[in-house]
Amino acid sequence: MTDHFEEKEIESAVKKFGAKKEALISILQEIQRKQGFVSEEMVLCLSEKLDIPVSQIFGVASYYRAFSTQPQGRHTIQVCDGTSCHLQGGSNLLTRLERELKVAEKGTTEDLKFTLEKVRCQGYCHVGPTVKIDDTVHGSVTQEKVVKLIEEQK
Amino acid sequence: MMKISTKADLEAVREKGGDLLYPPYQRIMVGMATCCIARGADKVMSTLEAEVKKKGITASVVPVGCMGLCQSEPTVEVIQRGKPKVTYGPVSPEDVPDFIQAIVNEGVDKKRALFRTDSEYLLLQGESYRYITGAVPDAFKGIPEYSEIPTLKKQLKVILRNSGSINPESIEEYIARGGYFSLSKALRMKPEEVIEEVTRAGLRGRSGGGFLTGSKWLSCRKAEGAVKYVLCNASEGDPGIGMHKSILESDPHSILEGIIIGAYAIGAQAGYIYISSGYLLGVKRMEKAVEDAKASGLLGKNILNSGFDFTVVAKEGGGAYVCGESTALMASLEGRMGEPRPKYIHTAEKGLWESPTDLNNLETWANVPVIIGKGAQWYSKIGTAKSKGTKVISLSGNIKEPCLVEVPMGTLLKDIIEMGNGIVKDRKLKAIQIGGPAGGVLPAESASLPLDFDQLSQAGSNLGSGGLIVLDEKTCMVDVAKYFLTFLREESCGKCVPCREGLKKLIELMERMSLGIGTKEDLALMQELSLAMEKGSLCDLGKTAPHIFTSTLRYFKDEYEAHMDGKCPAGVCKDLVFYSIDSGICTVCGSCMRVCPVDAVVGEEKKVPSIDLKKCIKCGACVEVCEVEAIKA
Repeated sequence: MTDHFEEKEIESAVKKFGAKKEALISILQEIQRKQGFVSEEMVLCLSEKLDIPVSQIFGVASYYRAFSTQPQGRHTIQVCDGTSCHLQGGSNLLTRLERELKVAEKGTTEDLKFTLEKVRCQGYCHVGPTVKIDDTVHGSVTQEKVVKLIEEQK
Repeated sequence: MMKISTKADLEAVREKGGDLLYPPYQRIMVGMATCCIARGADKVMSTLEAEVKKKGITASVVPVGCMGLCQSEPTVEVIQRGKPKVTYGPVSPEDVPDFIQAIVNEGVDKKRALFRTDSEYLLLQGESYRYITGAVPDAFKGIPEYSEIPTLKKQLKVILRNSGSINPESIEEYIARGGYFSLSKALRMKPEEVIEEVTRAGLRGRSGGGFLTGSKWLSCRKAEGAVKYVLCNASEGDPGIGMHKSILESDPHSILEGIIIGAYAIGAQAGYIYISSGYLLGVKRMEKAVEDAKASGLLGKNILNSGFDFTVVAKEGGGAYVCGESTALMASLEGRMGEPRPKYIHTAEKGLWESPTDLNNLETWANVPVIIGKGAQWYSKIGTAKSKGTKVISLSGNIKEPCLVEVPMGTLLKDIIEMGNGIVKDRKLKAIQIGGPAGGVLPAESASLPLDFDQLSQAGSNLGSGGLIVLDEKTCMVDVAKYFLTFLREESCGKCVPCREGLKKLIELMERMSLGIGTKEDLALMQELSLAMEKGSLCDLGKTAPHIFTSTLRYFKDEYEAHMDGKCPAGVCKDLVFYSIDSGICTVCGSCMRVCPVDAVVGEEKKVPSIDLKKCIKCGACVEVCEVEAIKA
């Protein structure tokens, strides 16, 4: 993922939800999903199109968990540390992954392969502890299993 | 899609939907909520479709919502004319050919059958549908009946009445089970009568506060404003529960119907459904429900020829716990940062875009069609004196079979815990966490408390949105308190000082506890801070944040004292524990040596290994893998 972006993509997101102030979060969701993150340039571009101050858009983009202002790795690993997963070792999994990938939580590995995130409950409490890699949720994960999962991605 | 303008039209759609629910051929249903999909239900579904086609069987393969049998997922149900409905699970894609063959040959696959249903009570119709025409066929006799299953027999499914039985993307199937008839009834009542009915039913908000829903509606109805809004909070918030997702994905129309009825009663023209960030399937199914309701004329202009106009939009949020707070949720809908504001002026008077606004939780809305359909009198018979109706409970934590259940208010907490088939590794119950981060921790003795808004709050917790987390004897209360406080600090919006700085300081002091260097003075300071936060914070996030500390201190003071002495009795706080292997228990299986990432478990072959404490990083991998619990902290 690079900082490069197509203005067309921003335009299509604005068109989809309308150039209204209240559509900002939906538009940012769309950009986040398509581009992988919301960069400074994208915020500047969006500010002109929506006539909302840059500070406000950046405020929203940095406020909510759904948005990232930094480029993300090709794979996103989300370790759940919701209450149920925490009790079953979710935080140990996170520490283990930080160690294995040599990256801190919220960080991206140097080769831009993985971004490691801690999340609070994705609603899979019944199969905890869970680790979500891209779109796949893995349940009842152990440290042994999580290392294998990472190797499979490599 | 057929346009519905009269009750007769609704009845015609019910007929049509009935043919889908109980077709003359086989109906094979696969539980397809995201948690089921995480366990491979989508593959089971496509394999079933292919197999049915290959064998040339006339059958419909239908995706349905969550059946609530988390341990048996992927779950499949089969309906055949004149025979009991049978629930199967777990069914894997590899099982499918065998499974279909068994059903073709004998009508049932005994190997994978969980239970059978001979007849099913349809709540809104007030009558039962009999699956079997005569006696139970011989082939089905060995399978237990629905009512014989312990986790199922104590439940009362009002909110989850359709979950797992209908295709959530089919409005016809929803109508076939009595859906939208309550709307039709409500539109023939006066708005005030609808509010009166909801008030008499005693419905209280399912999001934590427990306000009387009818009173809330009435104040919004009375507020002056040309435009009024109704909102549905469908964002999960609390970590450790997955119930809103399940309801959204399993029965979106039940929420929608409640919202339309509420909007009519309040006099609102527009509504928003605010869904958790990342609940893509929930958003998709809700959007489909809104679209279908529009196409059928159940949303839009002149709904069911009543002259009432109403539209609703489903919106995905940005992901912030504080957006459970009404004013923050409204700011988020307006496209701003989700920061709360002081509520000198209630949102019922000035809410979304300064217009009168009513906000209710998703589960509260889903109760409304049942209250209107069955009447306040019927509804108010369920529950306790001041807590009416049922409650969906997400049971998780250190429990063998975590599940989603629905029970009448007043059910004892221990009876709910029993539905999870006991505690992991048969350990002892230590505490119950209920109500999420805004709630508290209750000791094991509290298991005899009933599910009741007021009794739980007297005990120092609150019902919250219904997450019940079981904590076993291996749980450290200082760690649990620190966990929730850290969660809240991350989620605090930072607008007001008591919450922002109070949480930061509380965690610093809590950190000292888990390092074993806390003092009595620290504890006193924490209590003082808690009081200041409760009194001085702007919104409920900050006001309730110290509950987790105060409740753990109230019931588990000895554990704080032990930490001050440098001991963590549960063996959780990393700085206070040292792992060792009990040679009396160890079976010398070698697993711990295999998984240790730093080779700290050392020993010779066929001998009990030992742990090199200089190398050990206390990651817990060995504890996790040891089947016999020989590794002690």
